[in-house]
This record gives sequence, structure tokens and C-alpha cells, in this order.
Amino acid sequence: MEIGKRKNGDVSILDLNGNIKTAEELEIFTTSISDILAEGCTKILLNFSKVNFITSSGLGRLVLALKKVEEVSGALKVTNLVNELDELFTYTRLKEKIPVYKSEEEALSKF
Amino acid sequence: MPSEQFEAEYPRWTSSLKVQVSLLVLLISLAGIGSLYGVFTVTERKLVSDFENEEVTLIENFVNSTLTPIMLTGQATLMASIVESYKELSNLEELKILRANGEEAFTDESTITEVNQYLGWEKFSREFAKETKQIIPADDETLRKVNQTSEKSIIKVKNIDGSYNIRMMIPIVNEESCHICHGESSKIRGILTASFSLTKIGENVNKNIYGVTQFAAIAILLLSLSMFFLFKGIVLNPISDIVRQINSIIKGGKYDIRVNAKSKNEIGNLASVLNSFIGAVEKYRHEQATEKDRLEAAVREKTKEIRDKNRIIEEDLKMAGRVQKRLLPERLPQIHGYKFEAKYIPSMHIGGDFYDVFRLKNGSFGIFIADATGHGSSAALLVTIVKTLLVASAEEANSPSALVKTINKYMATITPDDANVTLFYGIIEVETKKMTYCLAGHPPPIIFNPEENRLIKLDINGGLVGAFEESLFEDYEFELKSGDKLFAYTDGLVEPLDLENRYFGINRVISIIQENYGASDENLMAKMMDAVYKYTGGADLEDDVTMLMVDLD
Repeated sequence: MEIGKRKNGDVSILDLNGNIKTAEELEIFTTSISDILAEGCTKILLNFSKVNFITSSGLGRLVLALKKVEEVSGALKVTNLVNELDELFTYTRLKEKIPVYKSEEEALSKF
Repeated sequence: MPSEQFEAEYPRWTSSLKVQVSLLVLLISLAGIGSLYGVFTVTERKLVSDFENEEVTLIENFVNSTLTPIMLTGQATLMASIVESYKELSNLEELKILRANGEEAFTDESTITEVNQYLGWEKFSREFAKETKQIIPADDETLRKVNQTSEKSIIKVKNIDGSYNIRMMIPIVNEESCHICHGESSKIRGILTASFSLTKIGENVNKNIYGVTQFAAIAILLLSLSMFFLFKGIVLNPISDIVRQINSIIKGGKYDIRVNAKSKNEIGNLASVLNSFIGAVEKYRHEQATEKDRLEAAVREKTKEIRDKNRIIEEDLKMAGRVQKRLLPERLPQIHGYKFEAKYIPSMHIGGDFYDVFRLKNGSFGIFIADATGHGSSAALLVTIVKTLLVASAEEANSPSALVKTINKYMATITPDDANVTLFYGIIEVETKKMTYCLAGHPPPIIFNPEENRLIKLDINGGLVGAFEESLFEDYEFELKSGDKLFAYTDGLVEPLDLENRYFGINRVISIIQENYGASDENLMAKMMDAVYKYTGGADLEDDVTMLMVDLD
């Protein structure tokens, strides 16, 4: 999985290009979050438009990312989930912890 | 060293040097022989014409320097015999003196009488006169011409047999000194006719020339052949040898062979240089082979190392798997009015799914199904924690949510942030069939009734367990009826992807249940797995799959 980093104002946008499945991919994800936080940016938007699949471990890493962001009083948001992933976020109730938006614009406006 | 078997790809030209040089040599030989023949033919012609001229000149001279002085002596007899002798000596076919009228001189009675009278004795034999005949046929026109012009005539005559003769008619001019005997009346006293064969001399020359030509032709052919063989030996054969030798090197894959570099010329140079090249290739191949052997040995060693390590890990996992298997129920309880069926398919030796059905003191029983993050030994550790907490707290907990809160609190504090479980815990009162449940972060169990064609999904009332300490969990109630079936499962059943990365999904699970209302629990679960395997195209499952069913009578 490749992660593209963009900035929109003080919000860092991570474009996740692939699945979050293998140990390698999990590490890449966690490291990207750490890097952004280390840069001093506390607002992170995750763009899931190219993600088809995420394992329970992947969800675990999301929880971890959220905790790290909360430690610095930051905000973590998600956008562009495909239907199945949206369902997943619903029945794991992650949506209540990590806000999900239909579009990037909408998400950015809520930071 | 393995030999490389491949065909040398040199083109086999149809026009070879051999053919080209042979043709060239043949051409040169033919040209040589041809020109030689040409030269000799020209020489022959020249010789013959020279001979002709010579003979003509000789005869003319004979007339002027021999006959005329003799005639001046008046010795006609002498002249007749000299003519005869000269003819013999010179190998002429014909030599005659004619009178101006064309009759042969000294053959008639009157001339002989006159001459003998002049000489004073019978010098001219009358026998002589009788024996000689007129051999030359009368050539009136030529004779007339010679008479008129007083100029000699030289004609080439072709005989019946194809041979050639030169026929000469030389006028013997009646000069002043001849007037004494011959008078002044005629311009010429007589005509000397001579005839000699060209063919004979031609034949002679021919014989000699052909002899020389044949000799020369053979010499040229021999020279050409030897040139050709020399070329073959010096150039063609060494080249063919080199080609053949290199071909055998390539075919046989043995690079310790060298080509023959004995020729002391450019070809020898080529051969030497080729040998250097072959030597370089041999060295390279040897280096490659050595390197290959070295690498193979290194790989073998490494592989053994890895295999050994893996074996240790595998053994460890197998052991852990045996431990973990003990966590799952060996037998599901027998409770009157209820039937239980379970199917567990771990994705590796050791899994992160967990389920249990257990009696509770107050006439109810619990049904519990959980899915820990990850799979393998890390997930199994979480499962162990869950099981321990379950066993320790299930009796004390007033409700499913109370138990889940306990599990959540402990797991949130003692496990890493990214470790959590999803679960469904339902407590069913045996008599009333009332179910209280907590469904936390887990895909919803399905309650269906085949006879009444009813099917619903249970509602979520909690999030991931063990993620956030402050998470809230609730209890919902559901009235089960006779004939109802509960189908609980873990995420591994809905997660599988097809070749286009689409999820198997809850809806598909529901469809399969609906299509198999008449089936037994075991059959339904088997059909479910068949569908999954077909959906993924036979690929391995990424996550554990657990299915747990409760049948109400």
C-alpha cells in the first residue's frame, strides 16, 4: 500500500492507496500517522477512496491512531468509505469515535 | 559444468568460396586456353602465309636467277632437267614451263628439233618429250590475263578433298637478251606455272601447333588445379576446420578445446585470436560456475537455517494451537428444548475466534461468540484473556452488558491500544425463551424461522471491546419463539473477497440461509462454506470463520 500525503491548510490528508492487511501495510499506516504528529500537525483526514479491505488488525491500528491523535488533542476524520467499509465502521461503532464523511470537502469543513 | 545445447546459428550460404573460386579458376583456365589457341591459330596462319610468300619468292627467284641465265646459255635441255630437279627438291606438286599459248614447253617435236639443232646434237631426249604430259589443266582466263598484263598471278585453289593449293603463273619476260633466240614478237617467252600444296605445310604446322596447344592446355589445367588445391589447402580447409571445431565446442559445451592455429598467415591470426576468445569464455564460465556453486551453497545454508527456525516456530505454534483448542468447548451442552451446532475453521494453526455455550445458575444459558484482532498466536492470547474473564465473571454478571463492560475495562488497560475483540453475548431463559444480549462491534447474528419465513438481524448495541475504557455497552431483549433458529458468526464469514475485491457480505449470508430453510444446521453451515470457497475462487481464507447455531424446538 502506498500512502500519499497532502496538506490543506493545517489539515494533513492521507490518501491510502490499497488495502490495510499485511504486517507491512499496518506498519506503513501507523508510521505515517506518527510522522505527521511528529511534524506537529494535529489534524488528520484519512481518504479511504482506494481502500477495498481492512482487517481487524487494521481497525486496531485505527484505534491506536485515534488514541495518539487524542493525546495531542487533535482530530482524526475519515472520508470516502466504500459501502462495505461504511457498514464495518457502523457495526463496530467506530463512527462514533472517528467521524466519517461522504466527501473530502465536507470533512475539511468540519475540522 | 552443464553443457549448453544449442545450435550454432551461422548461416550456411549456398554460394561458397569453394564454388566461387572454382568458377574463377575454371574461367581463367578457359580464358588461358582460349587465348593460347587464338595465338596459335594466328601464328599458324602467319606461318602458312609466310611459307606461301617464301615459296612464291623462291620460285620467282628461281625463274630470275636460275632459269633465265640458263636459258641465256641456250641450254634448253639443262633448263628442262633443272625445272624437274627443282620441283623434286622443293616438294612442289607442279612445276612446268608453258609456252605463251599454254602448251607445255619442250614437249613438242618441232621445239625439240629446233633446240637440238641449235645445240648441234640430240641433247633433248625424245623420250622425255613423250613421257611428259600436260598436267595443268588449261586455265584460259588466267593465262590470257598473264599474257596481257605480263604480271604474275597467284591464286589459292581449293581442291575437291578440301585441301588448298597455291597456283602460280609467272611470266618469263622476253627481254632483250632473249631476242636472239626467241625474236621480238612476243612480250613473254613463256609462263612458269607452279603449284604447291598449302595444306601439307598447314598440316605440319597444325600438328606442331596442336601438340604445343595440348601441352599448354594441360599445363594450364594442371596449374589451375594446383592453384585451386593450394587455395583449398591454405584458405578453405583451415577455415572449415575452425568452423567445425568451434561448432563442436558450442555443441559439446567444452571450452577447454582450442582451434588449430598452425597456419602461418591471416587465418592463423584469426585462429589464435579465436583461441584467446575461447579461453576468455572458458574463464568466464568457470568463474560463473564457481560463483553459482558458491551462491547455491550459501542459499542452501540459509534455507536450512530458515527451515530450522521455521520448524521451531511451527512446533511452537502447534503447541499453542493445542493449548488454544482446549479453550474451545469440547462438547456443547444438552439443554432440553434447544439444540446447538458449531463449526470452527481457523485460518492458521491457531486462531483468534472463540465461542462457548454454557449453563448459568438461574435456569438460563449463555451463548458467547468473539473475534479478536489479528489471527494466529497474538489473537489467541487475547482469546485466552476473554475466556478467563468470561469464566471468572459470567455467573456474577447481572446482564450481558455487565460482563462485556468488565471485559472491556480489563482489556482496555492490559492489552495494547490496537488490540480488541468484537463479540456477541446472549443470555437465554430456558423456559421463557427470552433472550437478553449485548452485540459489541460484531456482525449481527441472524434469527430466522423457516416455517414462518421470518428473518431478522439483531441490533448493534456496543462498539469494539477493549479499545476504549470509557466505551458504553447496552442490553437489548429479543423474544425467541418455537421453531426459531439463531445463526451467529464471526467477521471471517462476511470478509472474503472475490476476484474483483468485492465482499461476500451479510446479504449473501442471508440469501443462503433463505435458500436453505429446509436444511439441517450442519448442512446449512456446510453450504455456507461451499459458497465462500466458490466465491473466492478457491483462495485461502484470510480470517478465522466461526458459525454457531441455536435451534429452538
